[in-house]
Amino acid sequence: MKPIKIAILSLTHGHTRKYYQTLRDSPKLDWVAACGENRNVIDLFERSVSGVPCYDNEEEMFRKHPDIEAVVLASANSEHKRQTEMCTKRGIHVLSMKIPTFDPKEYDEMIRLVDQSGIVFQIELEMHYNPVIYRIRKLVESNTIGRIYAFQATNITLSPVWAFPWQGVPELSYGKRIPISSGDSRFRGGALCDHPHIFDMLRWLTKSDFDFVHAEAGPNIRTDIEVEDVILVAGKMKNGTTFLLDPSWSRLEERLTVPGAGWEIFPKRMEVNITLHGEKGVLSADCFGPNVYHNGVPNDRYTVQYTYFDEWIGMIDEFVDCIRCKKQPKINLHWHRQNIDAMNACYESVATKKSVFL
Amino acid sequence: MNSDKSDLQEYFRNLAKKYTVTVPKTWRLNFYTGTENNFCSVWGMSGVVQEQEFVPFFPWRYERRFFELKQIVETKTIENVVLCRFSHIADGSVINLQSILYREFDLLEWITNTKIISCFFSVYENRFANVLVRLSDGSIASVEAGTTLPSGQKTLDRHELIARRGVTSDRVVDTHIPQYSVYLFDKTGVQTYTDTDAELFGLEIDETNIVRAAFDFAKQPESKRQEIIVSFLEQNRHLVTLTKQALSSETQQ
Repeated sequence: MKPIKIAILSLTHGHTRKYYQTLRDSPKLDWVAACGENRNVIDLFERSVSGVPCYDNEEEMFRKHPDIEAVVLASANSEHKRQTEMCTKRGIHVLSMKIPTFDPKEYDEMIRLVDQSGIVFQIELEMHYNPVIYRIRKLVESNTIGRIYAFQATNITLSPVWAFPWQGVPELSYGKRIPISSGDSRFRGGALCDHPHIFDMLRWLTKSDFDFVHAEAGPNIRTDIEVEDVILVAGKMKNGTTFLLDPSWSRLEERLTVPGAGWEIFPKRMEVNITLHGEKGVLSADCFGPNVYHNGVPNDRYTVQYTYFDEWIGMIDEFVDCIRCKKQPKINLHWHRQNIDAMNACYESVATKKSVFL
Repeated sequence: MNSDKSDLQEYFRNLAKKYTVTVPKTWRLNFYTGTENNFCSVWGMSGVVQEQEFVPFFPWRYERRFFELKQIVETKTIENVVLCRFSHIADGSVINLQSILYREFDLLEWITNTKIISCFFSVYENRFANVLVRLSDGSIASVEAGTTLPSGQKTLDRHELIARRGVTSDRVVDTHIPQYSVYLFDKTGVQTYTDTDAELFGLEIDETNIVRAAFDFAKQPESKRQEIIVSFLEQNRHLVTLTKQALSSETQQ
């Protein structure tokens, strides 16, 4: 199969660095260009990657590389609609970061543009390609625990706002400046916006859709950011499964502008744990591990060192297969719409202090 | 629970004798081990009967890990708790969902020294409750309570408090099930042991808590005992009200 000629845009998303390796390593890709949103990210890119030209203007990049077939939108959420429109006009396939947009009208317009253009639009919900998730799904589908009564999941991390400032700016993360509730000085756009994976996994593993959600925002751990960092969500699926989700930024971090060793204050910087309770048993899983541990450089703190993340391999394999074989990715705009609706409903629940039915 | 009530009475009497604590004859000390049809007693409970009303001693408060979590909060080893994450999953053979919620709500309030001011319950057929809690200091908590473990499985629980400065938990970082002090691997499989009280060696943790709670009560001067009874009765009524809410509706605030 002929490698896909691919570029990466903006370079401002937290997952950008992951693509430095992914785009380089995949035999199914030919990485031809990059485009940075500002001098800072371009400098970072040029210190990390050699042999791939990096532009500061998207038009110039496309003009000089008319053979680009696909792009990774490694940008703030607020950029996704504009960049999608640009790509649909050019017939360029898109691998988008996890939040296409929180605005329902914009979302519908993105669906229309993508469907009309016929491009492949895949959303980076990488948990679908995680081997632990493969195992959970296999166990659930083989009826090992029977009918699922209850589901809990954590997607808890440190806050990325110091390294990726747009995630702390309501207009860039959520798309608008909306207070999380009346009289609260914080705005939508924080931890909840960063963690759609558990909403997605809940639907994926229970094979059901959201009936209602109920959310509570706690006091912020970080009192000097504008967006929420502690939030809990409970509710039910249409099949009756009760759920509890924790998408908080509840692990403190050193305020590094470039992520690296010593970023975490709590030993473990990120966790996705999933528990399913069924009529025949309980399935409890930690999606990242086994890990190793050290208390060395730079802070002499006990630290969880992750071992290997290979989600991007399966994701790129699917993306390329969808482009070359003209297939719809499983994580497409239509599938993801209800996850986004549920997350918006969580914000509405926080604001109204009531359950919100979908 | 391995012991019967007479064992626990014996452990209690030995402690009382050793420390020359006199148990007044005017009150009856009750030990339950999980067989009585009393809502508060299904845990294994010690308490007194006061004017025909059972006064539970909330023996889990004597479990060392919970005592230490409370100390960590009270001494401000962690500062400004904003989020608590509690989970308790049992096999349901002895303990029902309401009893689990009773214990976890009491622990939540006792460790954080707050009161629950609102709860949102998402319940599945009295088997599982996912609960969102708002506490009186504005912080929030999640409580996962269930009886979904297969019969004979050891209880899985976890208690984590996340603060603006620091996190405390009774579980090891990067694990999601309890660890034990001793593992014995032999031809029958794996045996585990966690012994926490040399003076009461031989009792399970829950049994140790029962005896310790009763002994602590017995040690108090008479004037203090009455004060404790009043506060424990009030807490009992509060917890019974909260836990009944959980089960009265599939979902409610």
